[in-house]
Amino acid sequence: MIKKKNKFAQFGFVNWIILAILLLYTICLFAFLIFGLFSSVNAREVYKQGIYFPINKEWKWAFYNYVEVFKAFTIEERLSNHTTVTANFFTMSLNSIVFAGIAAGAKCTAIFLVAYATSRFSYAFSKVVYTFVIVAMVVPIVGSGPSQIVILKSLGLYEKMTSVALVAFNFLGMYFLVVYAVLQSLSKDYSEAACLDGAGEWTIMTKIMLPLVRPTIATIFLITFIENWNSYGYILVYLRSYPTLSYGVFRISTEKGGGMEHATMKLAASFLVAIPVLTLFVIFRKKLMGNVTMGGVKE
Amino acid sequence: MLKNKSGFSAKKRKELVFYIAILSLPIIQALVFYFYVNINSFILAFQGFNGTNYEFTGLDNFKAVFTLDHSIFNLFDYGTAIKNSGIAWLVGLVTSSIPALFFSYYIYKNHIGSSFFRIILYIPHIIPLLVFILVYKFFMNDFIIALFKIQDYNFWMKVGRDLFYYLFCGWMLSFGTSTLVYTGTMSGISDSIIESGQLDGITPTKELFLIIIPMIWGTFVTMTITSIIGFFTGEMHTFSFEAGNLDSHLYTFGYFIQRQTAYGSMATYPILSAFGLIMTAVVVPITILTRHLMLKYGPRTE
Repeated sequence: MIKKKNKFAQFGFVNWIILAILLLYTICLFAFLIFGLFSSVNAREVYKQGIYFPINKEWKWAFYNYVEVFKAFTIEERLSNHTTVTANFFTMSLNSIVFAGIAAGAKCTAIFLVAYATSRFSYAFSKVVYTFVIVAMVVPIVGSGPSQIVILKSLGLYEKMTSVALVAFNFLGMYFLVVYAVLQSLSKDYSEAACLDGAGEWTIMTKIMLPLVRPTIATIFLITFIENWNSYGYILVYLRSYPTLSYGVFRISTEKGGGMEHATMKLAASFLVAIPVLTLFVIFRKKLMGNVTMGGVKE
Repeated sequence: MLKNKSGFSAKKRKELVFYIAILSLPIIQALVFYFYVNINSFILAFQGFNGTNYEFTGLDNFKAVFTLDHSIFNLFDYGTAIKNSGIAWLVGLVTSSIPALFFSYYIYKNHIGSSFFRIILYIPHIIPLLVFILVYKFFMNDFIIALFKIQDYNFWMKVGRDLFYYLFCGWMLSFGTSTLVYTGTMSGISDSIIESGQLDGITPTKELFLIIIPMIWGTFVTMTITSIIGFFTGEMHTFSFEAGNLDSHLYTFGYFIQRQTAYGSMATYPILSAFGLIMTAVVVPITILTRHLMLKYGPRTE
């Protein structure tokens, strides 16, 4: 009993306050998500009566909302060349996979190449590149979007899927520092031994070093894939010709009319968009939520 | 080792060729999509669109930005944008950035349910933003209205309440990354430091403020610095809520820029570039000064 009391007291006032806020946050989050999930399988007429949970006698399950989404979730997009693109659920799903896959693949490739070159070869230019990454992270630039639109239009890449690969083939940002740190921490013995065995630079990079950093690169790929799957901004501004599922949700969420007018249908569509990323999260939770550090601790 | 006349061995030459080969494409990409985009943004700020091409117009765009003398500023005024951007940024700092530090401490110390809370805080980061917002919209406008038997279906859109409506959603979405970064950094603190504090009978509050925060101050500074730009780019997710239809009394700098970038035209891009350039000129010195002051006057580990 005394021991229990001590543990209770040792927990501290700050921790009790934090625990209370965290519990409140959890209740709010669960309330949103449970409401959304039940509403997505609620019958329209029941939802209209203000019945939102299956505890009411008049509740009717309407799993067919999900089936109807496959038929009704279609968006039409007018492009800059005055043509129109129509995309249904399957087209948008395919666009989402291609868009997120290309963006994540291009980013990871660029990060690995630059991190490998700058961490392995101690030329002065490597230091310039590293400093440039830090400066680009610290110095904020506002409103360069219009300039990027003008450049993509002048290069003939506006509303083209090729633009995704080119724009995403970008090594700037925190993930470069993560891969750079991992590569620097690896022993040089591996590459030196391979070199003595007559391996060339390409073989050392692809057969020796890449497998050693593969877990880190795979995690970054997963994170950027999920970020791009969830994002609608790039599609809205640069790539309306390939509407993705997230962009589709943006359209049905902010516009009225069409076959997706009702709340229950909109919620069913949005949960369908979330299922792939939630599945990835469940499978790779430990990888995705692994230790992320920025700036380190003071000694 | 065989060397040629310039003193460069064949191995070194091969190494250099390989170095250039693997770096060239990413560097060209950065030159085009970072340097050229930003230089072009600067040039664009001094140009106007004549229907077919851009031509030099001097400081006209900057005059238009300061006097708001252009059709894109029809619903925009600086007073509202400064007020809303300031509220959004400050509320974010007080209710999200600082609590994230406390939540991370709780998780780091492995207190009751810490693994569970770590996942809970990260879930809104995994669910697509628009899905979360859509559920939130219906939850607040249908469920809450019905639960409290509110007759006014426009309840959340009344002035004052609408700001809370957007800010609360932003608060729910704000903990994922920062909590992960802080807990990751805290896990790097040596156990011996924590144990020596505990042997001295340190309370959890003192441990947090006298050991943990000073030890991770560098990370806190980095996170705060990167959030400063949020004053000009943050928009309380209003664009995801309303697209281009937000009521003008809720305009922030971030919303205005996002709206004009998404729905602008070749004719409006130069004005927007001038607007962005002025914002950058304001935010860069503030960021550098804040970083300097936080590092100079922040807590010490000695």
